Amino acid sequence: MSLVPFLAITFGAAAAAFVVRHLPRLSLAIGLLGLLAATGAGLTIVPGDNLAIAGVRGIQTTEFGRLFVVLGCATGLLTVLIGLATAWQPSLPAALLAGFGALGLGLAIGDPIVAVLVVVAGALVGSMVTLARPITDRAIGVAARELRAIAVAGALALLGMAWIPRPLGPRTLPPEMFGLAFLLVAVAVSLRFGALPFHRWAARLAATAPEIALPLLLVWAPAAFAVVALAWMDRSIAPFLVPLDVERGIVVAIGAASIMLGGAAAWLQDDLEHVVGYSIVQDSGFVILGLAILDTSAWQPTRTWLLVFVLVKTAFAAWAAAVRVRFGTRQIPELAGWARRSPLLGAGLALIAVSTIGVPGLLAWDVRDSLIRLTLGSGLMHALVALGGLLSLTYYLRLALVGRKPASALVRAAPGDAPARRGHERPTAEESPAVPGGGYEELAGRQPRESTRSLARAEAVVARTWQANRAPIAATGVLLLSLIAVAAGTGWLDLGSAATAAAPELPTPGGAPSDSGGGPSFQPIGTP
Amino acid sequence: MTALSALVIVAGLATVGGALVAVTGRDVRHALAGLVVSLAAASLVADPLPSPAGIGTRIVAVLLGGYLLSIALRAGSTVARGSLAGRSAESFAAAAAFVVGFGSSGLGATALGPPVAQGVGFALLVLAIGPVVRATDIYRLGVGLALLLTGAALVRVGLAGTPGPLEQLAMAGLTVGLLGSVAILRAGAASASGALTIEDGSATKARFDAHPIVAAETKVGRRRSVARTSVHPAGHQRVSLGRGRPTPADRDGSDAELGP
Repeated sequence: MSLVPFLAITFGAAAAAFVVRHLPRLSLAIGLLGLLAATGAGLTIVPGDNLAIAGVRGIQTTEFGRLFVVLGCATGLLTVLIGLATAWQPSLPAALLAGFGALGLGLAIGDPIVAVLVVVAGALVGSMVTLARPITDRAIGVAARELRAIAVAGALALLGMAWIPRPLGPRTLPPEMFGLAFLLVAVAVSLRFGALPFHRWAARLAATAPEIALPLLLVWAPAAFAVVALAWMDRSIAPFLVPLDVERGIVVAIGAASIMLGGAAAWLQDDLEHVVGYSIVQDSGFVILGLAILDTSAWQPTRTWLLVFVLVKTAFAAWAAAVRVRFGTRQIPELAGWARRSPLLGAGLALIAVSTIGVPGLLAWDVRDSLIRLTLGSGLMHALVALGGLLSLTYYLRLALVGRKPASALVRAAPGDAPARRGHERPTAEESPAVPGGGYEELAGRQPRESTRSLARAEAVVARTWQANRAPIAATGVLLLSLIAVAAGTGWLDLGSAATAAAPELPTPGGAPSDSGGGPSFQPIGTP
Repeated sequence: MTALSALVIVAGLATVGGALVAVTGRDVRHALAGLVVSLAAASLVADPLPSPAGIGTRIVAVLLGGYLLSIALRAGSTVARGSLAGRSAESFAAAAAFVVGFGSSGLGATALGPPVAQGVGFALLVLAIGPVVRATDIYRLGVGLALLLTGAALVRVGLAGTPGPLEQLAMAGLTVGLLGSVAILRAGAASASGALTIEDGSATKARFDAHPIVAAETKVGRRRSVARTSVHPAGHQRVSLGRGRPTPADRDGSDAELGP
């Protein structure tokens, strides 16, 4: 079973990195190597592989799950390196490994109830990354809210999915029950993403949690949750063609409100982290719309958008972290001239904007448009929500315009993109006002030692070079993430074919056909 | 009544009883013992019973999670607030919820599991509402979330039958993950300031951040309503409406929690 090495590496490395956390450099090395190895192990996953637990075939790898974990681990590796160069969060590698291990396992489980349990467990463990040191009462409060949102969403989804289990067998349900179960699961997904009107906890989390941890907390884990919910709806709701106009209307309202108001809120914010948080809320609205379609045509665009969404928002959160640490502020009005000072970060933001919105003919634009069209048709509402989606342009343009202004004193004092010529030259406090004691130096817990031994000397040179070049390293990392995002958003990465792959089969004793229950037979969405 | 039915009923009683102690207990050690008993007994509320390996996995997970919590509880006070509603009120609410769950077995369709499981699940969900919605400290929130997820899992047992081995394993992992996370938060809270309360847990505080109202006073009937403005160090204005004197947070602008 090709999934086993991936799980062994992710969970094993996460546990090892956590156990040796009092040795920061060893813990970091284990985390980095673990993410690298997990990316490689993810690439070796063979779609269609089965694994039986106690004689029941319940785990099956898919192309979509493979792509999800490979992209997750690869971007996670870049995120850790950016975090190391900006605002370090010691528990990040272990949280990423444990989180992606659980998400990978959850996406391979056919039974949606079990998959939800696994995905929720992974999200709970991953949420502990919000506790950045020094731990404050406020951070504890925000982490507690995150914990509550994850658990409540999990309980709602569990109840909804248990109501209509597959195969239905001797059970038959009145149509209202289908509607209530559908609504429970859709609300659970909305809550998990922080979609309007459940956005309050997500906004606070975005303002308090380390920026570099936001992708795992607000993007990757909720996205896996949404994938499981979509698979359940495909199997348990959509085939029965139950008219659910009211319930679908509520879900569409949540999605449309998130798209329009989330974009407006992101535009109005002065705080970079709030902008990132509300932009996530806005783009998650398209996922919510995808849940409301309840038709075979929803499968491909929704899952494609999910992949674009996670990559774009990871890059945007990393960009915000790099900007905040480079210039020492997260207030947009104080960032005048940031793009002049750092063209690399400017290029990164431009690529992120292109990959989020795109133009007609590119993947991101087309899947967003088809999600709106499949939900709302081609009338006035379609135009309104499509315009709401374009509100992304407002906050990207605002950031770009601020970046083009003459540089403020704060921005002028920040280091530029040019690498330091000599590794032993350390940036002064004025050159690097926002990163006192951060990064490698803090990780090592002491100054790089001066020693006559060649190994120690090489270590010292590496440490000093890293220390002197943290700003360009972070900017380069952001640019790489943006390039991955733009490759996804423009369709250069072939996400569409992975998104059409069928969900894992339902658990079957002894390998019997999966749809042998008493329910009506249907063709699972995405099956060629 | 078969032996299995009797076992399911006894396990259900232990589950609800333990949950009551966990929610209403004023000594966190007793509350933790109640929680462990409740979660462990919940694994037996199924007909037919899960495999011994499945039950064993669930119980070991509960014991491990309880142990992690007990480590975190060593720091800080051992006195909990308990339930403001009181043990009697909570007991009646749980009993009523049990009756509703038992009576509505299957929720509109043929149930594949025992009605007792759904009744116990409903009781746990009702007991979890208070701690989840109005949690005042980390530990109480953790108890509420554990009961919430276990209650949902028991309703699922009542609706869809005995969980398979993979689901038992996943539920065990979820239990350890949840209780371990709560333990980490509890330990973090104790090391931060020693205060175990959740900051600004109340949703009833009215805050108006969007419109900068400057020192306005209005009289509404015989009561005096005062609008207060404070300036946050980062440059934001924070305005709160209410009666009486400004709080210290209003005066020094120390509350950085500014919404959109």
